Amino acid sequence: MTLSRRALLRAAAAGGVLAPFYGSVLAQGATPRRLVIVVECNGIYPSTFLSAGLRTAIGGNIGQRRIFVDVYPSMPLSRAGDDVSTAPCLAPLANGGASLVNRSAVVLGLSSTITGGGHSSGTGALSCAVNGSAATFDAVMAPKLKGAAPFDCIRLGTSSSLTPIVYETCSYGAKKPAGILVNPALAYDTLFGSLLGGAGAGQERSMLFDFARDDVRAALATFRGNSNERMKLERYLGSLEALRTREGQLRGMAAAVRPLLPPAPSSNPLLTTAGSPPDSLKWLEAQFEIATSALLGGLTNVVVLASGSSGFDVRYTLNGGIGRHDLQHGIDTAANWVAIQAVTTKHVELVAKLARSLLATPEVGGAGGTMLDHTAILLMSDNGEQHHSEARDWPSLLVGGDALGLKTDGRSVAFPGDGRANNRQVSNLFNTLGHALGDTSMNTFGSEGQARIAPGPLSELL
Amino acid sequence: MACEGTLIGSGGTGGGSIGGTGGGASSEPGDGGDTSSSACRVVSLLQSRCISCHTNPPMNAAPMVLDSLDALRAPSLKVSGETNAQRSIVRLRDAAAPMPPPPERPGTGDEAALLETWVQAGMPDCASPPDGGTDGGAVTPVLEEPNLIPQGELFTCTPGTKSNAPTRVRRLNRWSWTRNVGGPVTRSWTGFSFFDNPFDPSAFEPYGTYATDESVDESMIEITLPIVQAYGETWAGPYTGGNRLELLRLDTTLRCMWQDDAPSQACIRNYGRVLLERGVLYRPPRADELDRLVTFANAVLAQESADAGQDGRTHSLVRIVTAAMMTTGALFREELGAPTDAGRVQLADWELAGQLTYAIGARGPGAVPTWRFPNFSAPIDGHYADVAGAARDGGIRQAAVVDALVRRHFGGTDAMRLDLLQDFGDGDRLRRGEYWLGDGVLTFFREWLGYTRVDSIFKERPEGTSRFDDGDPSGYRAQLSAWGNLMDGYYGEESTLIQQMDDMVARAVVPDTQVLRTLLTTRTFFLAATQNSGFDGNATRYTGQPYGTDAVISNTNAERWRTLPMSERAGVLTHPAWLASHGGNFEDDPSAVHRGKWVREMLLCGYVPPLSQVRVVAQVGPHAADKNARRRLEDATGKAECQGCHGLMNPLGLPFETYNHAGYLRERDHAVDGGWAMPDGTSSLAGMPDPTLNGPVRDAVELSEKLSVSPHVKRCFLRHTFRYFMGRNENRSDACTLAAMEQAYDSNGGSFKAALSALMTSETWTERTQ
Repeated sequence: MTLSRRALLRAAAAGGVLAPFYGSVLAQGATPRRLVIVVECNGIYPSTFLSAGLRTAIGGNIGQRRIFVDVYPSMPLSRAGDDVSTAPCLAPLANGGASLVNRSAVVLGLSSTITGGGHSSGTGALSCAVNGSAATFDAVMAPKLKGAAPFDCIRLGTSSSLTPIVYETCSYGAKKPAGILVNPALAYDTLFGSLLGGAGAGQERSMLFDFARDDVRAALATFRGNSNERMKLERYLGSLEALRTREGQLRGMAAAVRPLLPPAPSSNPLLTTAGSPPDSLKWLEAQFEIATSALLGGLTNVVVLASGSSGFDVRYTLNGGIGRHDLQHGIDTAANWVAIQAVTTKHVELVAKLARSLLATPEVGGAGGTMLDHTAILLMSDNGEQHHSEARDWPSLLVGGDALGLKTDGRSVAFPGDGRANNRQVSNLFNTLGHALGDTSMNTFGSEGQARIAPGPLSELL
Repeated sequence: MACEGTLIGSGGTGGGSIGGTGGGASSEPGDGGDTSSSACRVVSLLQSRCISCHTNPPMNAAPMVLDSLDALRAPSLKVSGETNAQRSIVRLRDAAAPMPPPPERPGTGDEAALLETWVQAGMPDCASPPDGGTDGGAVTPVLEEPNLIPQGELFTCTPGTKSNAPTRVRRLNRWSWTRNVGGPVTRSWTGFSFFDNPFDPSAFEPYGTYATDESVDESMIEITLPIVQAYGETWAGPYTGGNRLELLRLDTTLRCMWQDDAPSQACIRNYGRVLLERGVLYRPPRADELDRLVTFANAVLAQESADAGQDGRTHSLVRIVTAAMMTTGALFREELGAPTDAGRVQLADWELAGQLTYAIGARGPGAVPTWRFPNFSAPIDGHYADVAGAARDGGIRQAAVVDALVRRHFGGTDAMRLDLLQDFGDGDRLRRGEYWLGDGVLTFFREWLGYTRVDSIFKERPEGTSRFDDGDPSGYRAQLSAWGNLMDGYYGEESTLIQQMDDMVARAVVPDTQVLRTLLTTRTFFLAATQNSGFDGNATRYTGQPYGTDAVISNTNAERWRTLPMSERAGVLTHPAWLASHGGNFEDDPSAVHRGKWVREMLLCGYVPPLSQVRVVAQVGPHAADKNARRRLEDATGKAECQGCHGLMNPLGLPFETYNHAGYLRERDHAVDGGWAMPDGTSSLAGMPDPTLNGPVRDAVELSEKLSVSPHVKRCFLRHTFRYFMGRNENRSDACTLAAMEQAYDSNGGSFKAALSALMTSETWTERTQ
């Protein structure tokens, strides 16, 4: 998926379908900004992101320990130019294509105990709040970054839950969960159906939405209920109108975006060979393909990819088919620990593949550079440092976003551990991203109350 | 200054939640000092002096939310036994630590006195008018926390009081939508099913019947479309879809739609009418609804190419059905009614019919039955055709008719379990208990008791500390295989743990005698057969272990129904499915908190502040050989600032410590010396809303028996019944209906049917405010 976007645009222009697409890019202004958040379930162990250099610099008694919040220094330790790919699970940053080592940053030692930890902190991870009590970062940023993109945010993932859509990770606000599509085939149809259907299908969809829209309008014209009930129908009408508008927008973009699309679900080996229950990593890779196409095609500027964070007993074939939960509970068995690291490594590999696609695609609209320069990719867990986490350490990987001001120059940063005066929090990381993505007033993201340590972004990363 | 104007915004936009019960009267502050007025002034006080920090979520390091009268009524997180209101009075008068803090002006004596007056008056609501309105006025339903209403007030009927619930439209939920289109509410990983529709109620809804704020967003539409299209295929002919509808084979008037090259207008109109009434709206379509669909159908048929053949016609019919399924009538069911001379709204006949069938059976009246060889899911005239008939002839307004319908569809016995026809084949159905409940009735008990979460809560070593815990660490040990099979039923055809509790509940409820007491005390549990199970191996041989037995159970219901020892189990709260659903991941996890919270909220109708109001790190310490769950919990929550909430939960949860996290009976528990001790389920209850509950409790068996005879618990049970079947919270204006439900329940020997019938023939059921 490394088609030159500029070439794509030229081709599209020749086809006479450029205007809506080109317009969407221009509408973002001189500095396009994008956000990709990848969330891994069951924790990311700090040792997996610990580079050889940082290990030496920290000193202390790390040894074979996977978690070592007690050994972090009393002041933030930042190592620019660290070879982060020497960390056990970060080799994909160096391997598999153009090196991303010096376009990345690793962060260790951030806490977020307000989330409670445990198997999963639910929406707490991305909101820095008690589960279910506040908006998640993606939902806060999506309207700010949407520009003219058809979708303000695309949320994809995998889950052990037997439902097509899950609600445990993202939220528009207190008790307002945002759904994540956890079935790639459904996600493909949902996002690309309008692009693929051709003129006939597009006409049929437009007719359908027009019919439904007329029906709701007629219902509203004679509606006898009160304003709250009326609002339910008005929201439905608004959804239909938005879809109708998007239908036209997508149709205008179809010729340009269609070449970027991944294989259809029926012919995508990631799905046809995933088994039942499916190999979560294969499904996740299929979701990454969809996300990559959506970003390259300008369908959205915000993506969440949630790997098992809403239903975390996902299964992988790489370890013989044992579910992630059983894998975790046998973590002291060497083979299980190897498999857990392989899963995290696979997540990094998928992040790297996405980043390389963006790196290979020049930015348009006068911003210069590549799409990766204007895209911040964050890989983190949904509960902290381990399967039954205490939420005291949230190892995170940032890739890209150089043009946004992020210090993704290959550095590793270790913050003082939880309980120390200079410990910093995941909320500070989101403040950092908020500033980089254009909201320079975002200094207190999160709902941590008295648990908040310090406002503002992290100077080590911005 | 009116409360509403001050607090809920102006200009008719609504949107606030300060007012507690919503709406807002025109009470003027200082207009005589009645309690309603003082409440409204307290609301003003919150707005002007507190909410800038104590908003939701709190800001500027404020520790709790104080944005409503309910928040003031809530227990203090700081001082056990006090409310936030009482603490606020102290802080308003605290010169050393003034509130509001600098640089704000500190609290005044008048402000503290106002709050004190309100507390002494029993913390009443700011007087609220009816919630409804017909003119699109500024009405925002404010969700009062019902458990903060004194229970006695909810059962004190003032003659002439009318329920103040407004008219509404209710988006269908996932379960009902699936049932309507004839789909099973079970699914596998492979392929899509109708149950993949995205109409799950929002997470904040207490019950799946609530539709407080539910609408349909863009992603829902996109996800629904392919599912709706699959439904459309079933209406394109008798053999076109995967879900065969016998109506399309038998009703010869419909055939012209798929047999004629150019269906006549009469044919199209007839098809549209039948489709809308029997497969989309579950009521006769209004003229304009039918007109629009016919117009759309004509446009679709006109686009068919001459050589499209049968596939082309099927495609056209799918488009027509899809369009019909996207109408407001298909997605939202109405309770809008018609105005009466008394200034009320009387629900229409078909609205009443739908309300009844969705409540009892979780589907619309007259829904077309599906065919599952060799049976049909309902008589050919439709699911709940008798209710539809009562809507047609007006009988739905007669109490005797409604009572008969409730009793007919409530539940019963059937060895064939044809009620499960759409979900399971003969092999599974014939291994179930013979008692059945209507889909909606069973779902009430599932949601009230909350026992269907069991398969989504991981259990580390489910048999831990039980007599079946032999120390074997193997992931293939028999105990774990059996537990796994109880969760997913992968091996054999016997029931899962959830289904076993379904059947236990049904057996307790169907006889309809002292229903609550039976639920809380029955020793009759339904277990899976452990031989001739359809797959005989470890996964099926040891499924009795969570119940405390590894006896061989043969393949008959006489064997599956087991009477468990009186010292070990008593009722639904001692069923492994309930215990595990309200248990942690490890045997020494604080399961007592989950279980105690449930008892407090769902049996005592007490209030526990939600976690969203807690701004402290709440975690138990690490596992340790010398600490059992009780000790870990005490270590973590023993502080005074924790007891504000945990004092409400822990004492009610500790009696369940004789069971582990998965509901197995403990044989031993961790001792303080790191060895083993006898399990301890003792607790001491104090300050219970029913004083007869106070005192020492031996274990969950004794607790269940005490709860089962508590009038307070019975009323709470009826309140939850009201909530589920009405699809909304009760309030004081519902007192006459709640009292009638209680009277019907009591005077009929604890009859749940009688209580339901009282509800479904009440004005609360049939009328709304304008």
